[in-house]
Amino acid sequence: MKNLMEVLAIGSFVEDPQNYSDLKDFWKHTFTDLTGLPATAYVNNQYGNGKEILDGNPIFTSVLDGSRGIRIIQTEFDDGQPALSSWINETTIADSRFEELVIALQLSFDTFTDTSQLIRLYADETLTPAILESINEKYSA
Amino acid sequence: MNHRGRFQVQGKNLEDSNSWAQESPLLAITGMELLNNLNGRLSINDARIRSKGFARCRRFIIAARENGGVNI
Repeated sequence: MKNLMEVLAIGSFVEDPQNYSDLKDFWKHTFTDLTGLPATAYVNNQYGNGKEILDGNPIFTSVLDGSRGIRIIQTEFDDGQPALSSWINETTIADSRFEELVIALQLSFDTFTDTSQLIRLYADETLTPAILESINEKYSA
Repeated sequence: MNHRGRFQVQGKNLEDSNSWAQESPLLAITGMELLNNLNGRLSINDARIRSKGFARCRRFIIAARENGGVNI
């Protein structure tokens, strides 16, 4: 499994099976390291013909508990967009209410640090709207 | 309803969406209409900020159509 410095060196990953796989593994291990839980995806990211969707949206999902999860959307470098944006999304999965922390990011040391903090706080149920907003404001134009 | 979802935009003072819930899969052409309709409701500035996001979404709809839909 690649470490943070190695994945930061990954350039293009959209539609690149090897780089995409490396990033998926990285996020799985990051999630487990932060939460102590095995990663359990709740989005089956495939086209109808079975081909995997390699667009980074999402690059990672995992259930946290029965009604909450984490969704990470990773985009390639684009200085015209915020490097990180995060929100709480209410959705429905299998006709049950489901809440997810969504983090959309371009991976850097800073966005990884803030993503880790967001995941940790959300998992511990201590993520407040004020904290979420303050992290988003760091990256807004 | 087996097939449901929504296209959503959000920001500090913005939250808008177009959703669907139906028995059959959403056709690409309908998805594109819903997405373009949502885009059309935005102010010029909000649309400009999100132009790349909308472009990515349109590319996804096209890719999904070309690959037999999505199993999400």
